[in-house]
Amino acid sequence: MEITDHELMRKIKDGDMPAFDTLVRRWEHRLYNVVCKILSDPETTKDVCQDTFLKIYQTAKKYRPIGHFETWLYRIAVNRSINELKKRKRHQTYSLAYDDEDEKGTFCHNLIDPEPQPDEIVQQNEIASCIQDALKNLPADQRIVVILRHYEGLKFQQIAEVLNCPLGTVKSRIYSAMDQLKMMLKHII
Amino acid sequence: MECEEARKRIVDFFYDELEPDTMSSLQEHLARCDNCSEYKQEIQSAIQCLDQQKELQSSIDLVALHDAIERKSRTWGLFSYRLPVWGTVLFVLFGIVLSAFALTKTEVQYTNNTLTIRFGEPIAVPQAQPQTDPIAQAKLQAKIDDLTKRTDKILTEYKKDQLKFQSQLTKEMRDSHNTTLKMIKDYESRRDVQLANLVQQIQLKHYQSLVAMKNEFELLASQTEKEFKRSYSTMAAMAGLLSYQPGQ
Repeated sequence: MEITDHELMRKIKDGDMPAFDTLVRRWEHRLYNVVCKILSDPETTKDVCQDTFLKIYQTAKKYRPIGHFETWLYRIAVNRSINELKKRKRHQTYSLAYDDEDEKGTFCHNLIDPEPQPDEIVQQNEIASCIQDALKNLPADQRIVVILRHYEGLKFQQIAEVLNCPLGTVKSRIYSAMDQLKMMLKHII
Repeated sequence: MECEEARKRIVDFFYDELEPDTMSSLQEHLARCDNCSEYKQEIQSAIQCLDQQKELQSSIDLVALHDAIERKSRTWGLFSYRLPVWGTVLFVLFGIVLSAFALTKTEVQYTNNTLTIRFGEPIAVPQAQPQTDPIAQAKLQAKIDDLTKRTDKILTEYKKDQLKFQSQLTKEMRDSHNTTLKMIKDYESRRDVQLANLVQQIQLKHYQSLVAMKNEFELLASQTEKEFKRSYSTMAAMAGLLSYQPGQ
């Protein structure tokens, strides 16, 4: 039987580093997935993920096993991602690496099947690029709600807890987001 | 159910958030509304499109993460705070120091390569003020006048005694001269042994007279000196008490 997240946090609280490593390995991909979709910048995403796990380790002593662990984890990660977006907006610096065609190809390489045909690769890359652009063009608050609901499968109520906002706000954001995505993805549907 | 409401419920439906009671209402609406049915198809396609994005794969560098934890654990608690926190703390401390300087009226001076810090107001040293009480001054003046009178009286008596002494001495000298003249006449007429006794008597009387004069003079002189000393010491003490310097 797999050890639960709450149990791992209890061990981390007692200074158990292997338990911390287990927790990191368990959540790193999902966390990276969420943060990268929010920030659209692989390099910054790594820093935010590391910072998130560091925060989890530091606050393990204060951790109370109430509610879902993932809600708490995503709250930390999303808050840090939002701070990163604010910082980026203040300095008006955009990640050129991700906009670059080569980098985009590398990014899209993760989205395709192991051994596709060359024409399929091109088509899938185009679709992936369009989807990524569509998500990127959404307002950050709507984008976060879509990512948490669609890709991470969180319930609306959980998303409200992650974002510390009313349930109605979450719902209105996802309605608006789906309306816009429907329009933006119309040409590839 | 209205179209606007139905479109929200369509999103709920695809994300399994639709209430069971609302399902039948939505289906009824979709059965009679072509626009909403088309909207449902478009949302479904968009969701399927989003599904085409696969999960991204990346691993956390555990070594770097452990290093970061190590660094953080080595850092002393206060220094782990970020710069804005430190800035606020320093600003507040600076304010407290300034307030303390203002409250204690501290002066900081830098002159001739010397830093001088003085806490509080300069202590005012009270200056000696001359006594200005008119009643006390009047009393002092009366006392000084009295003493002056007494001193003058003593001086007058002293002068009288001196004159008396001089007159007595003169009389004595005159008597002695007369006695000497008489003795000389007797000595010239009789030329006997009584001459020696006479001279002896004259000498004894003259001696006694001189001793009496001397004693009287010494007594008068000592009284005069004592009185003068007492008078002037009293006057000096009272004058000093009221910052009065005789002779100024």
